[in-house]
Amino acid sequence: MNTGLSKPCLPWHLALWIGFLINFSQAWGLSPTPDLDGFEKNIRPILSKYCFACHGPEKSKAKIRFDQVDPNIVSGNHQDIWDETREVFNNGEMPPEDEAQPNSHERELLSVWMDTEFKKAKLLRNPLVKSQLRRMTKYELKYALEDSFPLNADFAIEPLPDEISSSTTGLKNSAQHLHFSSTQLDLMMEAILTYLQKIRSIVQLKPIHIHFDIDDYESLRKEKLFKKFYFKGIKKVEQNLEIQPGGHLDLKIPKVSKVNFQILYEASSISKASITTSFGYRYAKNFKKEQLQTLGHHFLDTPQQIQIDYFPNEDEFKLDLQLDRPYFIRLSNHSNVPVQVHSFEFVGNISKHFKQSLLNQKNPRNDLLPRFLRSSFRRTPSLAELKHYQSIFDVIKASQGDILALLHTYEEILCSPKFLYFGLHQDKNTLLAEKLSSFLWCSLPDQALMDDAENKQLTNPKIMTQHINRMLKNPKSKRFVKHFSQQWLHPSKMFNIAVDQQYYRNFDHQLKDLMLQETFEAMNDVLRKGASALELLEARHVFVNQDLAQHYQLKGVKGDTFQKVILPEAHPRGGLLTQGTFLIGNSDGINSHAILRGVWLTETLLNDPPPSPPNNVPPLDESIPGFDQMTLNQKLEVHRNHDACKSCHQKIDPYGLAFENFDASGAWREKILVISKNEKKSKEKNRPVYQRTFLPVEADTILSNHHPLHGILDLKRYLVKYRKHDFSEGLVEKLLAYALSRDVSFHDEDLVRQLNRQFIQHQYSVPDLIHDIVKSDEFQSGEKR
Amino acid sequence: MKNKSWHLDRKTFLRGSGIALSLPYLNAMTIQGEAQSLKQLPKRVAFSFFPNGVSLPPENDPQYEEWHWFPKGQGRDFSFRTIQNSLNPFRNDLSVLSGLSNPENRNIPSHMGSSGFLSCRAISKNSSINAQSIDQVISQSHGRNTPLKSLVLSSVGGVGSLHRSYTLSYDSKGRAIPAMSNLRQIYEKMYLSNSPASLAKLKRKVHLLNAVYHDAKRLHLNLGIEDQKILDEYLTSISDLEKKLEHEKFWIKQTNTNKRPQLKLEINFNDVENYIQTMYEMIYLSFKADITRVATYQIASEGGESPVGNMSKAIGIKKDLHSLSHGASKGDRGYIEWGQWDQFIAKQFSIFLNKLRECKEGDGCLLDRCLILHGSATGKSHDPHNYPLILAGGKKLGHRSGQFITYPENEQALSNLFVKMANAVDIPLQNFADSNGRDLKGIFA
Repeated sequence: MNTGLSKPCLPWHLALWIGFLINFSQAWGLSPTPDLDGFEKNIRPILSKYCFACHGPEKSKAKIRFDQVDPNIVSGNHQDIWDETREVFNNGEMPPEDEAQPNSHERELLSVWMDTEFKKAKLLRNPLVKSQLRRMTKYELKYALEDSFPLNADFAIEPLPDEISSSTTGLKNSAQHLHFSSTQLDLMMEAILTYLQKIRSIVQLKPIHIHFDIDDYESLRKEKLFKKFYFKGIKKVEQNLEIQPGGHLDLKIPKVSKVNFQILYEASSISKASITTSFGYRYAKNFKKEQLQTLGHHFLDTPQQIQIDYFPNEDEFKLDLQLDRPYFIRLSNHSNVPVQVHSFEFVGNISKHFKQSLLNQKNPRNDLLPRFLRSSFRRTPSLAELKHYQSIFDVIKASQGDILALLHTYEEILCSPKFLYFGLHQDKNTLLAEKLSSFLWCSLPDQALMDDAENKQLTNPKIMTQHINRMLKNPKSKRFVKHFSQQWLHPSKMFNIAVDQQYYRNFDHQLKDLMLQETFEAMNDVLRKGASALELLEARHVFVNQDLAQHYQLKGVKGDTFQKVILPEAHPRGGLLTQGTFLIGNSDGINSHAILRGVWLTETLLNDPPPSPPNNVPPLDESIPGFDQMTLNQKLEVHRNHDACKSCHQKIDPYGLAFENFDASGAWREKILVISKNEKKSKEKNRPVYQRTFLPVEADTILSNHHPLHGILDLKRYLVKYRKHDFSEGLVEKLLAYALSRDVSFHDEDLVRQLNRQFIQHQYSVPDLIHDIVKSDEFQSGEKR
Repeated sequence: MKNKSWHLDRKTFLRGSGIALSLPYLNAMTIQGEAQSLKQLPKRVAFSFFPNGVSLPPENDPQYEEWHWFPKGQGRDFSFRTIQNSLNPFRNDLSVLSGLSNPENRNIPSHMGSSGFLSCRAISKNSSINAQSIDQVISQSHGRNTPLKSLVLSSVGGVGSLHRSYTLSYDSKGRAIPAMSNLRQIYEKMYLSNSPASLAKLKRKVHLLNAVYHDAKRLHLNLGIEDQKILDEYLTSISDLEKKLEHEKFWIKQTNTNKRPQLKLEINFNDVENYIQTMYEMIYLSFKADITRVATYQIASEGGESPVGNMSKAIGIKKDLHSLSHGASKGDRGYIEWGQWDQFIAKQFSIFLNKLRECKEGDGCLLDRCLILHGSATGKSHDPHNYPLILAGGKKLGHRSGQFITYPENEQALSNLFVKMANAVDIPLQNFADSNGRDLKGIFA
C-alpha cells in the first residue's frame, strides 16, 4: 500500500486505488468465505452437546446463547462472542471442569474450525482502521492551547463534555468514538473564543498599585482590600507594625491571574532577624488548610527595602488552577526578635512579561504568524494560506495594533479543521510527528519534531529513537502518564466513594488527592522512567509523602514532597494493588468490597473482564440469624452460593478476599469494625445507641483453580509468578490502542503477541515497549488510505 | 419583519411579557376567538429519569404495605403507599403504569438501560452510536417555535458512556447530546443575553463558521473516501450550527433581560434537594415562558461508579444509590432505606408538578398541556422489566389521568407509549423504534 505512496510519479490517490485493488485481489485469492456448512455439520453438534445447557434456550449465562449465535465469524455479527469463546475454550476455562468435556477429536474439530475462520476474518481489512482522521479530545485541546500560550486553559475547556470512553478499551481517544456534532463544534469554538478573550483581557490589563498605609492600620483593617485573614503576634509600635517572633501578617490581595505581580516593602529589626514572604490561598474562607508558596527569605537588621517579583510558572499548577480564590501575601517572622514593617506596597496585574512572551521580540506578521500557523497545522503553511491569514492580520492591525490583530488571526486558525483534526496530512513523516506527539504529549509536535518531519527524518529509526527518548524526558510526557493512567486504571472512581465518617473518624479527605498522586508517581516510574512494569503488581517501595506514609503506617517519612520509600521486610504495601486509590475506589465507603476489588483486578490488571452480572440479581437471602452482624463479605458469601452467581463469582471473589486486611479507607486492619444499631434506645435522650463490634479478618482464600492464597502478599507473589503474562499482554494491548487511538481487535492479536514477547525480553520496560509500538507497521503506516 | 406569522407575533408577545406570563396570554388573544387561541397554546413534553429501579418488596414481605413503589388498588381506584405519599394530591393529574419496558433492553446489562430508555434501542457492544431518542423526534418539529429546541439536563452532565450514560437524549444520528448540569450554564442558555459582548460573539461565530466551512470544503476534495466520511460529519456540524445560531439570533432580538428571574445558581448536586429542585425549576420556567417545549432530566446516573451515587448519603440515608438497590432483602431494613430514597424522589417530583399545576394557562393550568414521563429503566435492581413509570399532566392533551394501569408485558413495549405521547403533542408519528402498533388501551382518549 505504501509503496504506491512513495512513488513520486504516481498521483497519490491513483496509487491508493492500485493499493486497494491489490488488497482486494489478495483477499479474494484466499476466498474468505465463511464455512457455514462446516459449522452445521461439525460444530453445532458439539456446541449443542456441551454448551447449550448453560448458553442456550434454558439458561443464557454471560448473556451468550450458542443456539442463536451467528456462525459467520468472517464477517458476521458475533465476532466478539467467538473471540471470547476461542479464548476460554483454548485455555480450558470452558466447559467448566465439573461439566462434561469434549473428547480430543471434538476438541480438535472445534479449535481448528475457529482458528481457520478467524484467519479468514483477518484477511479482510480491519474495519477499525478505515480512517485515521479524528478530532482532538477535550484534554488534547487543552494542552494544544497551553503549548501555544502562557495561560492555563482549564477554565475555557471546562464546559466541554468528556469524551465517550470506548466500551472495549475504556480509552477516550478512540477514533471511531470521537464524533462531531453541532453542539461539539459550538462548545469547542466557545472554548477557543473564551480562552483568547481571556488572553486579550490580560494583555489589556492596567497595573494596579496598592499602598499599604501603616499609619492608618486600624481603618485599613476594616477595609476589604487589606482585611486580615488571620494574624498573630502583630503590634502597632509607633509608626511601624511589629511582627513578634513566630508571628505573621496576612495581607489580602486582589484576584491574581497568570500575570506577574510585585511586592515592595521596607522592614528592619534590632538584631539579625529573618523574614519569609509567601503567597497563598485557602480553598474557602472557613477552610483551615492553606496552600502556601514561599516567594523569598530575607535576613535583615537595619532598615531594608525588599522587592519580590513573582512570575507564575508551569509547575505551580496547583496555585494557578485556583484563580478565584481569596489570596494573601504573608510576611512571617521565623527569628527570635521582633521585625518592624515600615511600609508595604503591592503592584498587581503587570502584564508586561505576558505581552513579551506573546510577542517574543519577533515581527508579528512575518515571523510569529507563519510560526503559529506551522505549529497549529503541524506543517509549513502554503503561501496562499499564509497570505490569507496575513490579510486578516493586516485589517485588524490597522485599527487595533499588533497583539490584538495577532489574537484575532489566531482565533481563525484555531477554529480551522486543520487544527482540530489529527491525521489530515498526506505526508508520512508529518503524520508520524503528529501521532507521536499526541501519544506522548497529548498535544501538538514541537519545533524540533516538526523540523525533522519536514526533513523526512522521522522514518529514520535512529532519529525516531532519539525523539522518543527526548520526548519521554520532557515533563510534557507527564500528561501521557496522567491520561493513560486515568483511562486505563480509572483511579478517579475513588472520588465517587464517600469514606464514612462514623467508621473512619480520622480520615482526612485530602488524603485522596495524595493517593491519586501516589498512583501517578508509581505510573510515572514505570511509564517514563522505565522501571519494570511488574512493579505495578509487586514492589518493594512506595511513593509517599509524610501524610500518606502515616496512613500507610510507615515511619520516618518527612515533608510534603513525594519520595520513593523502600519498604521494610514483609510490609504489605507496594504496587498498585495496595494503593489507597484502588482500595477506596473499590469499596463502598464503609467496608471493603471483595467483588469490586476482584473485578477491578481481573478486568483491569489481568485483562480478563468478567461478564456483566445477570439481570435480576436475587436479593440477599432470607432473614439469616445475625445477618446484621455479618461483614459485607460474609453477606456476599451468602449471595455467592446462589447457583446463578456461583460460576462467575468463584473466579472473582477469591481475589478480592485476599485484600481483606485493607479497610474502606485504604488503611491496614487486623479486625473488621461493624457498627450496628442497638435495639434498645438510650434512656435519657431516646437516641439510637450504636454498638461497635469487631470481627476477625479472613484473608485466606482459594482461587477457582484451587491455588490457595494467604492474604495480600501471597496474592502479589502469585500474580507475578503465574499471571504476569496476562498482565503484560493486557498492558501491551491498552498501550497499543492508546498509541493508535483506535480500538484493537482480533485483527491485531499477532502484533499484540509479538510486542508482548519483546516487552518480556526487555524486562517489562514500557519505554522500550513504546519504541517497539512506534516501530510497528501499524503505527508507521497507519493504513493511510 | 413585515409579514410576521401569527406564531411570531405570539412569540414576541410571550417573550416581551417575560416570565410572569400566564393569564394575560388569553386576553391578548381573544380577538382570535377563544377556541382558536386555546388550540394554539404550546404543548410540551418532559422526561425525568432516576436510576437503579425502585423498592419492590414482594407481597409476603412486611415492608410491602408501605414501601412497595406501585400503588394500592387498580384502575381508577388506587392510592399511593407511604413510599410515594407526596404524590397523592396529584393522583387525578397522573397515571401510574406497570408492565412497560423496552424489549431490546431486557437482555442487556441493566445499567446500560438508561441510554436506551428514550431510544428504545439496545446498544451493541462496540458501538458508540445509539438511535434517536423520542424527545429529539418531538423537538425536531416543536423546536422551531422556541429559542431552545430542547433542554437536555442531567445531574452529572456531559455524555458519559453508552454503558453508563449521563444524558437521556440522542440526536437524529444517534449521537449522545451532552446534558447540561451547571445551573449557571443552563440559565444562560435559557435566557439569551443581548449584551453587546454576546451579540459580538455571535457575529464572530457566524463569521468563523463561514471561514471554517470553506477550509473544510477545500480539504475534503483531497481526501480518501473514508476520510471524507469523517470530515462530512464536521461539515454537517457546521451547517447545523449555522442554523442554530441563526435561530439564536432571531430569539436574542426578542430578549427582555429585565424579566430574568432571580435564581440561586451557585449550587451543585452535593446540595441534593436544592439542586434537583432548581433543575425542575428550570424546566418549569422554560415551559412557562415557552423557551422550550421538550426537556429531559436524568436525576442520577446508573450503577456503582456514578459521580452522583452519594446523593442518598447526602440526604442522610446510610447507603449510596447503587448499594440501596442491592441491599434490600426480606426482614432487613433494606427496603425501607431504598424506599426512603424513592420517597425523596417522589417528593421532588410532586413539588415540580405542583408548580406546573399552580400556574394558570388558558382554560386550565400549565400542567394540563405538559406530558411528563417520570421513571426508571429497571424495575427491581438489575431487572430491566416492568419499569416504574408515572405519566403526569396532559389532561388537555387527551391523557386520561387518574389511573393505575397494568399492561401485559409480553405484548407491550414502552415505544408504544412514546408514539401515543408524540401524537398527543401533534406529531403524526406512526411508529417509533420497536413499537408494534398494539394499542395501549385506556391511557389516551
